[in-house]
Amino acid sequence: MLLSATAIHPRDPDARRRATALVIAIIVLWPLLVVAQFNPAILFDAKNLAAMAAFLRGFVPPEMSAEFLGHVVRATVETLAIATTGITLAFVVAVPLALAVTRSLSVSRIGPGPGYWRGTAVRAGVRMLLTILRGLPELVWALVFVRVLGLGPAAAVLALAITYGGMLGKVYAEILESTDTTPARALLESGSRRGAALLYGLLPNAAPEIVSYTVYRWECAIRASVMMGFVGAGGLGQLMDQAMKLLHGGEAATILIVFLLLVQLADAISARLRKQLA
Amino acid sequence: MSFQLQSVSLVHPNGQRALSSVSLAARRGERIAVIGSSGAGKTTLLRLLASALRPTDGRVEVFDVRPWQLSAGKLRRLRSRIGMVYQVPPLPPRQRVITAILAGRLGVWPWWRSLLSLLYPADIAGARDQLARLDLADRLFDRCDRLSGGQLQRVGVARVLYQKPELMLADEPVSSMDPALADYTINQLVTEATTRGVTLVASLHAVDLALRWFPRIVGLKAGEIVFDLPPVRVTEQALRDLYASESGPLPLHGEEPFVLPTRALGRDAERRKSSCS
Amino acid sequence: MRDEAKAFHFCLSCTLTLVVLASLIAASFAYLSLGLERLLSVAAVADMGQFIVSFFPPDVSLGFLQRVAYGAVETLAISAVGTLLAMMFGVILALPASGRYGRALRAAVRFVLNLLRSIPELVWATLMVLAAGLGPFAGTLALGMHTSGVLGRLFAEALENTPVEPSEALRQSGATRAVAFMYGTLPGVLPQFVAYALYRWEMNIRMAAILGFVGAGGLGQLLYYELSLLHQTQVCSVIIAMLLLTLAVDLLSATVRKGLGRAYG
Repeated sequence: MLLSATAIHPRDPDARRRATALVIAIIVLWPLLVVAQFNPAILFDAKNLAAMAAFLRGFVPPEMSAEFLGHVVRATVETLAIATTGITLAFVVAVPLALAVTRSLSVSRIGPGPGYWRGTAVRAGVRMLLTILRGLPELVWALVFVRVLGLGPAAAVLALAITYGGMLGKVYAEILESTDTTPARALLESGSRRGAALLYGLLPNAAPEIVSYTVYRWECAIRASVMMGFVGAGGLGQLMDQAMKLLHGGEAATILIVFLLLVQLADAISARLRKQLA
Repeated sequence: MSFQLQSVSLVHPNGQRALSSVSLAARRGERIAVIGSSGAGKTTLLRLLASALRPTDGRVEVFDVRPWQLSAGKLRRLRSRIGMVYQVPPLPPRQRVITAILAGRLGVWPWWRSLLSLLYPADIAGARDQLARLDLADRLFDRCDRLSGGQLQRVGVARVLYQKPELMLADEPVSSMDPALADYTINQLVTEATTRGVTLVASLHAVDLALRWFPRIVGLKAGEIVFDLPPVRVTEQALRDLYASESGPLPLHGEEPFVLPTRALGRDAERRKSSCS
Repeated sequence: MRDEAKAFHFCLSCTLTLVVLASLIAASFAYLSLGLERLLSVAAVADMGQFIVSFFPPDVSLGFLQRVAYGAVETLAISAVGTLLAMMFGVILALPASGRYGRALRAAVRFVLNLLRSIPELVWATLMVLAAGLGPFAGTLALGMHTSGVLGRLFAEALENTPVEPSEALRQSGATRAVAFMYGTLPGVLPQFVAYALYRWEMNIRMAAILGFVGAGGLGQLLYYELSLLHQTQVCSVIIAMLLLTLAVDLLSATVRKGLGRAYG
């Protein structure tokens, strides 16, 4: 049996690399901690502790007066309406973009023909548009729209239409491309129009996934609607923002509970809907 | 006495009877081979000796104490004196061989030394010496998932050698090795036992290895000890009876099936669904 | 012909559901009385066009660019430190949440993790502004709290799915629980943990940018300030910076993940 020749005191070959990584990590982490103003001691500063304690004390009991609950119910309905209208408009935006981008309905890709480069260019352009729409968080759009259209739900609905339109468009296109495209291609090759190829070739197989994703996005839209309320776009979020600015802990607690329940409800509805429609 | 089992029975939670009224004792320094067909209870017997399993009946004594009556701390210290070689070495795939070997002494090292060793191995020379005894020294810094089954088994053996326990238990330690290597590895285990004067109990599927290296052969069948003899007195008939459930000739090394790890490692499904962005 | 049949195959309950959905959608539009039609008038479109044009060209004056750059670094810091904090607390909470210390504790900690996760980052930010004052620390804490819930649950599931043999074998040879965990379990799950954390960092950078809207520092706070003063060109610069930062972090995270992937074979 051969014994390999090793040094009398072998050293760990990985050690240097690990040490370097550690040094780099510290060099990068330290300034980040400084810039983030990381200072746990602040949490125990008297003024902050007092504010936090006063607020948390107000949490219990949560505000339950009939008048306030009325506000909450109205705000919840408004949030639901924002999410629904937002998703609907997003759908309207997404469908034509998705159809333009998806390669499954492309006639020019099937074979040589005049439209090849034009088709590719159109698809690239629309894809970039979708990326731009998706690129900014909806909250940024909402903030800008609130400046333009004033406080209220319209800003949120438009923000959703834009960002979620981009998201839905991208995913619809991917779904259309990932389902089995042979029926659609067959129809296109035999000369049928794109609409027919879509309806008879792609949609039957793609519909369940499309519906499932749209309903999932509706759930996300509800959460996003609440978030946008914090910049003045209506709904539960605006109510909560007001409550917190006035340090009304009880009201904030109620709204928080309602929000958590709403999310659960939306989750249940979404699961049910997806099972029904798919 | 290294260990003493008196009328020990063990019934698994699912009702399966693994050991029936087993009595076995060994003085310090003895070398015992446990042989029997698959499912005879060899692994259970070894795990019982390792104080990893509690008997349903009977009395277990290891190093003259009853392990299941000890406090948690004392039981831990008792276990650090027992070393187990597993048929399928329980080594994390991405761990390096050196760390796997040094882990043998985790029961003895203070916590700070264990932690520091993760940053830089505490005893490279010691680990390499043990690995060299198994002719694998050049793989000291490799990751475990780069080794073959037989090489992994040798790392498992090296870990126990590094641990220097007073009671060495080996559960089919050479099942993935070719005959020459298996013979060599058993040689190393036996040499360790005789040099340091510690007890060695090995379960082996291959009869020839057992008869060649061990002065005491214990035959296990359906959870019961059917004989406990020196090799010269083990008859061909006794062996045939032992392996009666297995059709064909007696199992010799090289004819046994490879054992593959059956536990599938967890899948890491990326949870995109838990976020909305 | 099967495709045609499939295209028109609707069950009654599906049609009913669709009708209900359509009416709910219509009702939502009516309830909000958005008056979006007025946005489609020629005057409105012209106004909108002018508004959009007012954003360009983005302000690239040196002084403002410096502020934007600092805002970007602050946002990066918020997301990075927040994610790191979340990794630490996530591991700590994942241990009981994976059932190692009994079912009761597992249920309790999982409830806490759910609570942390369910409260949105923006709400956490408003809370943390109370506790830590305005500025990036509040944003860091907010991301830390929320992401702890997310990572804690992911880590706990990874721990539950990892094989127990390595750590059990070490305990068998006398190692303490903690040491057996570090040598036996952690090597297996650490790559997963890091992958999850990197993925979360990509999301947190987007969040960190907007937490500033409620006063938690970074580019968001700058955007809010400039927009409230109706400084459109400055706002444009900040928005472009946000987009670039997100892109950069996505690329960085992907590179690190690919590099680690190679190291982890």
